[in-house]
Amino acid sequence: MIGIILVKELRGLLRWRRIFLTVVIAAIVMIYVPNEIFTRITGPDNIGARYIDFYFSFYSIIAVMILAHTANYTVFLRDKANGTLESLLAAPVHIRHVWLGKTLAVFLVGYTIAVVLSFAFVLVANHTFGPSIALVPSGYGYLSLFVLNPVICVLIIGLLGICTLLVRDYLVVRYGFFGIWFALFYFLKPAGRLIGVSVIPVQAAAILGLAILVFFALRLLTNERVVLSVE
Amino acid sequence: MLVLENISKSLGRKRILSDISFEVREGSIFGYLGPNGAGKTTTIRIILGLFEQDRGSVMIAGLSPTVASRRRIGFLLEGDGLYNDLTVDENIALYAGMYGLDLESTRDKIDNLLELFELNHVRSQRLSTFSRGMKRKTAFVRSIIHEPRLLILDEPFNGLDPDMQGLMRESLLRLSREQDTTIFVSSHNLYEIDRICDRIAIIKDGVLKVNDATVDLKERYRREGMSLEDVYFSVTRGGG
Repeated sequence: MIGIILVKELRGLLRWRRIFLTVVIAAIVMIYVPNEIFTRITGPDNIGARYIDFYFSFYSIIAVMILAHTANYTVFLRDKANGTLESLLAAPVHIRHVWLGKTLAVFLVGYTIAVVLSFAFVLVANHTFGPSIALVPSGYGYLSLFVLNPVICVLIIGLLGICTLLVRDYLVVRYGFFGIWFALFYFLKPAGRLIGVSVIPVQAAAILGLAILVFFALRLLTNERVVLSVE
Repeated sequence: MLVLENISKSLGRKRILSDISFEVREGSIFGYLGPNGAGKTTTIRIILGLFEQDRGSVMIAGLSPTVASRRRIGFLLEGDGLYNDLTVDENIALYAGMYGLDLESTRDKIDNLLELFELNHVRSQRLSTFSRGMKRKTAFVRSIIHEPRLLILDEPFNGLDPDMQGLMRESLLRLSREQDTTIFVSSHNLYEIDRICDRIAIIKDGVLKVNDATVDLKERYRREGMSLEDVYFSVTRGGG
């Protein structure tokens, strides 16, 4: 059942033109902005190279959050606005399966784009600084990109999805979402100082915290609450 | 087939349903009437498992409603529940998948239904270009492709032209008579309800005011020179 919802939402997302506009915005944030910062901080001692893992791994989260915000509209909110959600819930499908199918669709599209943009960022950064300064992500960078960050992203998207399904006024969700986004952005700053030690405990703490939030939020997710939030 | 016993439901402080009890026998068509805000939609939501009742029980074929038991139920809600960015075929395929149907083996049945409801020539078109009536027909076809034992319909005649209303009426009668499908119809269309329903219930302010066989109801009021419309208005406008 999750697969049916997932395939339907993936098709919808890939057909949606606005997603491409969002990719362009994400590309600017992912590639242009970090490069600007790198240009300023990278001196003769090649200090910027130390931050490559930091940007390589964490910017994928930022990119996914930009994409998730747009995709969330088409995947979760449009179902509420068009009145299709009630029929979906009246079919022989559990609401958590609906939620999971939709969450995975947003994650798969968003994270695939984020991974592509992360590598594009490394290529552009290397091109900017020339062959004398090699910016190569370490094993930690790859661990973050392919293991830790996907978990963080799927939990953030899932939490955003539950809030969208439950909260009547989407503006509340939107501002809450941006609140999390900016909190994370400022959280990255001190986290960045830990580079050289390990950021893995910080990511593990984020995963644990988000998992607890999703666990309790899922308990609130009932057909009745969702249907009433539509009216 | 469908039994509701002493169903009560409040939303916040507002009492929506009070001790609603009725039985819909297998293969019969049950008309559920009432003005806006009377509690019809809440009743349907409880039957479909979208709402949980505060008190009382719902039994479908002797079992409490679960996600799995919904496979035997077909529904057409007031909102069509169709995806405008999908075609007729895609909308039907989506729900067929949810009901565990193999599209290939049900292809002929779907083709016949689309032909019957004059949707065959537009089956590859997205629903965003469709009229309300065409969407309603598509939603009806979607609701019966899995041959449900119980069919829940909320305002099935809305948006249909007289020809299509007639076709809908015939289809419901055929489903009831030939396939023994139990049909629960909530509607404001007293003319159609009068023509197809074996039994009629009228709800007002969350309380069931009338629950009688259509023949008996008409016979009783005929002696007083009243039609079903008169009965409906006497219940909903008066004290019942």
